[in-house]
Amino acid sequence: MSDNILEITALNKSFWTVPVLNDVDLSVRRGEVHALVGENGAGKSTLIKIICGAYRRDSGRIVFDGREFEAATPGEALEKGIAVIHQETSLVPTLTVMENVFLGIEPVSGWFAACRRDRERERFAELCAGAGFTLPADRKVKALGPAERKLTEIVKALAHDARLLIMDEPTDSLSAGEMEGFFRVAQDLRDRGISIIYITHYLGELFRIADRVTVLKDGGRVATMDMAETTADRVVGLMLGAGGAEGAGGGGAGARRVPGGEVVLRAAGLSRRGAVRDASLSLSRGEIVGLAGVIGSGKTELARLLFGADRPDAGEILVRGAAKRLSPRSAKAAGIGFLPEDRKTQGLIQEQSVKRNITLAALEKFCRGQLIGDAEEDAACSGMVESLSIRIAGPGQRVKYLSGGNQQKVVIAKWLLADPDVLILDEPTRGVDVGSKRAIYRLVGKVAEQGKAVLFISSEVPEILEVSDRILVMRKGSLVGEFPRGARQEDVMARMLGAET
Amino acid sequence: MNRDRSGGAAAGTFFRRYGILVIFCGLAVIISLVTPDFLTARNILNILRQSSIIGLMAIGTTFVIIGGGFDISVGPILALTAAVAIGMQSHLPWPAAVAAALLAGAAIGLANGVLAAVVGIVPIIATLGTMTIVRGLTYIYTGGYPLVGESQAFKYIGGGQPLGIPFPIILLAAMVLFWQFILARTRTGRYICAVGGNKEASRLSGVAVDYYHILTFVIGGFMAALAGVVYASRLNSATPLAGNGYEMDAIASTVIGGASVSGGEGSVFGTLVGVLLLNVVSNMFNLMGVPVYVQHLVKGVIILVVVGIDSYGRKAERR
Repeated sequence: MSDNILEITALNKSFWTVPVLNDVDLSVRRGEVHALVGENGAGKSTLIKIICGAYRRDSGRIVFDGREFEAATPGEALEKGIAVIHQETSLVPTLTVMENVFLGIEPVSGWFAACRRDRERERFAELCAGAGFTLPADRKVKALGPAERKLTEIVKALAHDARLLIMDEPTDSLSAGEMEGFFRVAQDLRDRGISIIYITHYLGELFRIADRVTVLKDGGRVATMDMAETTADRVVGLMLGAGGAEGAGGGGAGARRVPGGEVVLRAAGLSRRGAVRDASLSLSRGEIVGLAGVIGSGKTELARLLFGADRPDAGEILVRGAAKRLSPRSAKAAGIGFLPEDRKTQGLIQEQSVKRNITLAALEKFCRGQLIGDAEEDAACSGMVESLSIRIAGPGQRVKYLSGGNQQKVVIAKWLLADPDVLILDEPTRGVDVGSKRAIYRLVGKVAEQGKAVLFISSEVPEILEVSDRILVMRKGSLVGEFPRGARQEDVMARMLGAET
Repeated sequence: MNRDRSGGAAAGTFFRRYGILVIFCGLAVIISLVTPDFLTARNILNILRQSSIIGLMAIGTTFVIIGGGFDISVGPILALTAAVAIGMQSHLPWPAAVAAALLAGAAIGLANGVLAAVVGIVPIIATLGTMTIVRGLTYIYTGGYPLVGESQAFKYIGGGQPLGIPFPIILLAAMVLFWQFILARTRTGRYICAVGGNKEASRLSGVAVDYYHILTFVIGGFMAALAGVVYASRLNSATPLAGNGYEMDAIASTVIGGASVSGGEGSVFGTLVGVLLLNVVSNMFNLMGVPVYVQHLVKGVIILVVVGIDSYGRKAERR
């Protein structure tokens, strides 16, 4: 029997001719914690989805526990011994912990396949004892905290006799204390011979728990190393690759002089339970402030507080020096605009026309009393379509038929028409093609030149470096650093990932 | 590929916009060939007058559905407001009684809106509650017996015939034009569509979403009350069971008229066509002597076919 529980060789996958995985090899030993790291888009999720049967591979070989492995669905993968502990939990909230654990594999007896609760209970106690923790068997999952949910998923995996657990960002929603407990559980599992593939953005955790690490970049495997023989710097270096240093700074792209403009928006000690901790920042006229952080670091939550989309538990927001209790409506009135992270569900009314979407936030400008001035509205709409070069069939076209880039431009146009002093852009280039990304960067520059303050939020460090005059870094809900224009990509990344010593 | 998609979309849009009208006209032609009595001025006025009460109610329903809500309490609102309009005449002059009825309708609509938008009860359940309450209130107010009116002037609303046209038809036409104008040309109408289309995106665009959501229910209650006043005036009496099941006809007319049940889309003109379509079918069957229960069956089929074609088209579009 081989030492390796999982052996993947020369795995390939492409979507619509775009390759996302290139000849990836991965071998996981029995009883090891094997970390998988890489930037967004490096191919981690795709690799996991292929292993667990959510995607089909184009070519390559997967051997699990000495046998050729093929799973058509995650359920089948679980049956064969590979369990995925998802970021979003895959439990049924209205069932109890025990019911979830045995969902689909309930011990039954008799003609009517009556569920044997007593046997379930016995087995449940065994599993918990084996894993070294206790769980309330009869509590409904919706009443559990995130840590207990994670443990429930683990017990569920063990009940299915899983020999390989894939954990996708398992500590994202856990507190520091819960994290320690979680690491102990993971180590216990490893000592019992169960293997774990551990995916995380936080390099600090790797050195705490992993035995080996595999680095992915642009769909290919860059390296697999023993944790004992590497450093955080080296891992970051490999994640960024050779191009990392060259992209850094990007000073040549258009070094802008920032005049010491008036501070228009200031936040002091903003907190919201479970998302943002004691965040303070200020935005001045004519300046583009980049906000960097990995997914789940609290950037979006902070942006929503600044726009009044959510209420802070503590802290205050000052607009031009005056403290404000903001709602989206009063924020707009105070001159703040907000492009939300998810344009499909929060930025656009999909079933309505380009025109209606573009003028939604500034409609009162085209009205005399209640009456909408058609001519003014049409003129404003076509002006925006032209100046942002939005490609549409006509102003009456429904936005759902536009490409991602054009949709995003529609949301930007909506806020430019409203003419705010502060524009908060949350992941404005997500799901947008390269050409449109360039256009959006140029647009952001122009907006700042007009004397507006811009908060540019992104998980992609290169673009943050390119557009920002100043860079704030967020990690696990706190602002943990500030860099001037021209900062090195490695330094920003290291701060985001918590990799520096 | 892109062209195919927009081509299909254009066909879909065409059906959504004019399909009902095409079906309606086709039906009218067939009926007038089959039943010679159909195309007489008298019969047409008859159809329009029969459509007017549901028509007024359905205008309100249209706003509620476009705003993303649902209101099944409008039938009982008609009954209560009809009773108020008649009953209050023993204390007040009839115009004041009418005003009281309209106010009562708007107030119940406000309660519906607050329950749905502020408390957060799913609209169909919130209005199920108020529907039951309002029906109960009507029984309490009337004591379970029909109320009979005395004012001759009041009867004009439902029975007057300026220039030979029944007044309810004129009222319906005026209301259709007014509310279609509100929906299509004013800020209020635009925001109601926006809120129904995507509440969160509207909120994040600084629209006062709760206000507009509640407003649609107020319009729904008010228009149901107006229908109630016409009803009371026409019969010059009010029974506690008046308007039973009218809410379903109003909702059916609205969706047949092209309003999207998920909100954001629809028109008052479309709803009017929906109301007329259902009434024309009833009228035809009456002329042909088809029993009432067969009419129910056919009405149900019409609803499912019209809405089914539209929904299936959308589903296909998504793939």
